[in-house]
Amino acid sequence: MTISQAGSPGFPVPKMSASHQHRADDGAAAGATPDLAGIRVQRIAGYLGAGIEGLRLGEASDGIIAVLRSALLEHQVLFMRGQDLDHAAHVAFARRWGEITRRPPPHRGVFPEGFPEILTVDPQAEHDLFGLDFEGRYRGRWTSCDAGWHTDLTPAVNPPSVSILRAEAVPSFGGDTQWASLTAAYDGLSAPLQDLACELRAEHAFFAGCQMIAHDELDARVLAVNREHPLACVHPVVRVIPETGKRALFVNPASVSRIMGVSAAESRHLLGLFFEEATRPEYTVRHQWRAGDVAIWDNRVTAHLSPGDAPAGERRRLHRVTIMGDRPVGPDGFTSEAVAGDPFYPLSPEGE
Amino acid sequence: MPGFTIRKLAGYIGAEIEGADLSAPDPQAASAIWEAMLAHKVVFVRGQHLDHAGQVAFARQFGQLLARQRPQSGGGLDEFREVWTISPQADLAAYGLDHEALYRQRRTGAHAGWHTDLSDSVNPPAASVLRAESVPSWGGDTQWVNLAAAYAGLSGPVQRLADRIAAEHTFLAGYQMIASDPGDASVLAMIGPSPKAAVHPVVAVHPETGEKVLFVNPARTRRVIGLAPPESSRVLAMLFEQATRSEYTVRFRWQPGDIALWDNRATAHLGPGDADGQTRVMHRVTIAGTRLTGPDGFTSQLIAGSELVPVGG
Repeated sequence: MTISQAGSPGFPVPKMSASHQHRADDGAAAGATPDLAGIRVQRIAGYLGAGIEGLRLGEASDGIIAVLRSALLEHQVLFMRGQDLDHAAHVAFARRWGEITRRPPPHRGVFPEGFPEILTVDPQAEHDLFGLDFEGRYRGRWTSCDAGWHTDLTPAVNPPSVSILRAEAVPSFGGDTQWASLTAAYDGLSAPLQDLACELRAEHAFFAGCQMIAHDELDARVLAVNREHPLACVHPVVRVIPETGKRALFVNPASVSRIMGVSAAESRHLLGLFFEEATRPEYTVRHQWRAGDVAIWDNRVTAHLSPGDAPAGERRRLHRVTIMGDRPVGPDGFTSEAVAGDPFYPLSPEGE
Repeated sequence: MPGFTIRKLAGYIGAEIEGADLSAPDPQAASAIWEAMLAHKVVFVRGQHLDHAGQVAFARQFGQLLARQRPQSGGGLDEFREVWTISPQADLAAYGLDHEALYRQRRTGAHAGWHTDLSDSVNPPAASVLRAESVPSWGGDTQWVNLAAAYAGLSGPVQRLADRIAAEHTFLAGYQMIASDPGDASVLAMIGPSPKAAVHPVVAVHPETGEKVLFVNPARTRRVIGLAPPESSRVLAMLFEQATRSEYTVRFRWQPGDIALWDNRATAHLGPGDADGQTRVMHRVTIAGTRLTGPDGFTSQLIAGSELVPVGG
């Protein structure tokens, strides 16, 4: 295999799986399966992220899906440009990764008519439905500049394993997304802190990274809805990925409210340390969207952030489908426990 | 108990010894006072009015004494290398600069004045004896904190982390000195040619009580060895907050003639710095100590400078 960065001093070269020998610099397909002809996997950043070229997701064979699964384990987030899936094709493609999950009402958010499997990420759509740009508003409540980093739906005891996001409309500039590798974050901790993290558990809840103001009318409504339909759980701070044995620092500033079993003061300092580590620039990759692009990420080992720099008045409309995940398991065997709310359930293929 | 009573002052630290006369050496009383210090971390004896000779003789009962670290003269100090006079007025007379006032301006945090005496040495003093000669009419108190209580108050996971790490101590760790300022430059010039640094276990097992002590202080503890700088600063911020929690502290209002004796292996202390412009003359004598040992057997390491050597040692 050819890994262009291999041998660079201090550069961590991940172990490549056998099915993952297809790289741009390999030239022709050298893989085990004939289906793979023409697919190129181009690594983008130092610790995560790869572009996949030469395939049509709507027509992917089972062999190609297997290659993508393997590439996802390796690269954690994959980018496929110019796919131009419609809602039906997006959902059909997602079903090949597993069962689809969605938050139940009243937290369902915006979705295209007839496609409850999809969450539409679009400030304008939120504005049309709710009368305001919800995400934009709560960006203003972040308790730190990094509080937007999140892993999808971690307040659930079984957060999605995979998220598949596609861009329908993108602004003329701005509106990128960044991902961070939480396995790199774990690996980068010093040994004493790795060992500490391995014995810790953290509570996850929505709005943990926001300063909610009880006497503000909208905040009060949001808090009331969350009180009536609470979703909170305790995950291990370090999550072991069954397929790879890798360890991920499974915390994110948006949704981790506290470390269990330590004082509030200790929790604040430890989370500051873990969040800083989890969002170090060297562990990130950034994607500049074009309409028609698809990103797939391993939601068990990444966090992501929308920097929030899209120009006002331009449309940014993305659609996300999430795949059912397992309860995270820590190095000591601790398995995530629900504090409030139900686990996610799969949506039936007919929707609901 | 030889003729005096011990009265506890705060929840976790500090006791006043009443009815003691420290003017003449008394082995039995000294032993009881030392025991009280081990139990309460800092003990106060009011109204003793010792002179340099009396303070040195009192302290000498507990062990060998260290020489002061900076040259001072006048006021009888030339005969007593063991006595270190802490006084803005003495500093101004000797150097034209009130060092404490300068350091206060350079602290990188509101709590960065908390320190353990000479913890940048590989063998910091076991104990210190401070006596008040002149005190301001208001302000000028001293606070102490019980670092064994601080350790005991940590959660289990953080205790286990602390148990296995060591930290480097340097004189100006908690200060941002400004090289272009003449006062700062004079300090840096004084320290520069003979830098001192030591690595101590973050948790020290007290050689006499066996208690585990959170041996970090914001003024002198610079970094945790083996951690990346961002990790080190976060972990130290957490430990400093714990090491200066108000519930573990006591505050003493000085009167002339008062004596404080503290266990320098189990405490940090702070002058709040609220007596600006008033006369305050204190004299400190330090009792020689040893290198510290952590729960895993790690022993303090000398990084730069030399061990503290007792007078006549």
